[in-house]
Amino acid sequence: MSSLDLLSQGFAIALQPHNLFLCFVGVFWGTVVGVLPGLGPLAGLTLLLPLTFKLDANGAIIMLSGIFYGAMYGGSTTSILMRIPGEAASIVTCLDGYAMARQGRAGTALVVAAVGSFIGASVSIVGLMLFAPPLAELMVRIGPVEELALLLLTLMVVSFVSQSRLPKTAAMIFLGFLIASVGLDPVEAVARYTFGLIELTDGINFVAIAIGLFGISEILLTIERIATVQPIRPAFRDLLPRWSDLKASMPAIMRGTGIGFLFGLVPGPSGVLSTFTSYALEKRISGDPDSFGKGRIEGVAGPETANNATTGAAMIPLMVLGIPSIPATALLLSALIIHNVQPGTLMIQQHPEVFWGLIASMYIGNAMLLVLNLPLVGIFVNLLRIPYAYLAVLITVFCVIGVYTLRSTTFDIMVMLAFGAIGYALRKFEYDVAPLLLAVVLGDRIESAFRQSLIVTSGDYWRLATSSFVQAIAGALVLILAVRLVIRALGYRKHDLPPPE
Amino acid sequence: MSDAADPREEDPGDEAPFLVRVRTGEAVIAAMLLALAVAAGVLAGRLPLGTWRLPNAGFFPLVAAVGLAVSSAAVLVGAGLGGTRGGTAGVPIGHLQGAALLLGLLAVAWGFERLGFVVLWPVCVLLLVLLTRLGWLRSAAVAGAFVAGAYLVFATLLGLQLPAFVIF
Repeated sequence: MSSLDLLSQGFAIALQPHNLFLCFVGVFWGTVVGVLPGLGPLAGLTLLLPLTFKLDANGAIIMLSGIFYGAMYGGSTTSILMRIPGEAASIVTCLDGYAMARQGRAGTALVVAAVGSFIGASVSIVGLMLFAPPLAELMVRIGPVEELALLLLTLMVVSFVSQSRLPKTAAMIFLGFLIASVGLDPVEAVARYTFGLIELTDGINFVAIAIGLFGISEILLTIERIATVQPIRPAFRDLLPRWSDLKASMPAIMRGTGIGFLFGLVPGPSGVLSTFTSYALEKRISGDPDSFGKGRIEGVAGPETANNATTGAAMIPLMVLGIPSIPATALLLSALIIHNVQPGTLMIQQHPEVFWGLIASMYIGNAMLLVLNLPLVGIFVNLLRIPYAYLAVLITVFCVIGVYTLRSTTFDIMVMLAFGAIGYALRKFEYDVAPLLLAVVLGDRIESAFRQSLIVTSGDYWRLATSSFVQAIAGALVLILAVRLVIRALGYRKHDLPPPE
Repeated sequence: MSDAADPREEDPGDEAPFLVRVRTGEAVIAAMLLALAVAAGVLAGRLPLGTWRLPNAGFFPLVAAVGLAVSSAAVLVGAGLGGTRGGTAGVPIGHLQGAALLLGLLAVAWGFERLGFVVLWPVCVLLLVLLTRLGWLRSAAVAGAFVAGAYLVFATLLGLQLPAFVIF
């Protein structure tokens, strides 16, 4: 069956009324969490995860991915109108977006951000559609040695691009491995670090860790600095951009699409990095770099497009390899597993309806977002009038429900609480918690692949080292170093990033 | 950042009781991680380690513990040399609201299956009293609406497995 046939089947699934409704709920909620400071895609996903337990796999993944890419759209609104990034990837948009708003060009900035987001996201979905199936076919043939190489490469890249210094990131990765070791070992089922507790036999619940590290710790950090905001309110007629603005932003949108797609494939804070790189590139190639930060449309168009182009690309390693490249896709991985769909090399063959239904729903969801984000911008801005205290209480209740319903045990609430406190302390002192979460997710698989690789090679490390293992790692590392050099040449420095989230 | 006025009006709220330097904080965390690594390494050593060629259950945790020990020691040394970008800047920690949230969640973990879903209510009241200026009665009403609404949606309408609203 050709890709077009499969895509049309996907549309048949995505256009079913209940799936359309779930897609709408997902993108709407995603926009809301993107708009609200202190709530990002991960918090949005964790809060609605319990709602998906009664849905089929298609409906669940359509809604949850809608939250993921919807949050990327929503983040720009508050950046432009209030200089408050709704989520980390929208920080750069504050620079020129808010300056434009102060000059009475908020509507133009919002429209260009929305159009750029739409184009970037749509192109990345095309990329996902084109690259994922052939890549999956190729990946079916890989063995444990190659899998180990890929998994280690993922963590190496994460440590390279993390916002923390290398020793801190390494500490987080090894801590993640230790947490992943809790429970029965994956090969011989020997109990490790269980201390006689039956709840630890299956390991520590990943979702409880994620909600603690990102949900509870975020509340703890945000309630310390509750602020009131005075947004700029654009009139509806201001939403029509000038031709000159559109003309000026189109090349930046195209460049942002390419940057975002490439960064989306790379594990780590791809959304944030892609926006900084896009901004640096626009500034570098502009004839008047000093005007950046003072209301240049390219400073909004490029980063916002790049940010949204990462979403489709980030789905490729998840769908094809079962490797989440960022915490939000790690939660999508958990959601798929909860619904008995194992992301990885065989997913597209075994569950084509889920994969193609998701692709089709992403096209539909992006069109919905374009429509939602322009006329309804006033409504979303009004959400910021809700005091954060109420949101904090509501999020806390949702977190407790979400964690408890996974395994019906209060032990997981304790885990969430503990990781909330740990996440708060780590984030306060600039330890990046994203590598920790990814190491927890990948730890089991790395151990299994490592031990199976040694069985395959009869414990011969030399054979392991001279196989495609080292070649793949070495090649990829050279590529990463080259990309880092290019990024540095464009003017990006690690300390340009915001503190770790 | 643009030179335009900042639209945020910070509400200073309660002062944090502790101001910790970034360097000190990261060193304390690194020391705790180092202690954890040593403990985890000792426990892993009691598991069957296998051989270098054919590792067993204790091998991977032992490698992780050694890695954690080395990297946290490196952070400790770095903090001692003053390599952190935060340097001597003070980080406020230990706000009353945060402590209340953590204690409240502890109470929820204890009482969720003993007292019922309703145990979330006093926790939400406490949070609202601390985070807003609503007063006890209005906070109780708002929190009651939140908790009852959440139970209605998740347990009654969606049929998720949650403890009864009140367990006698």
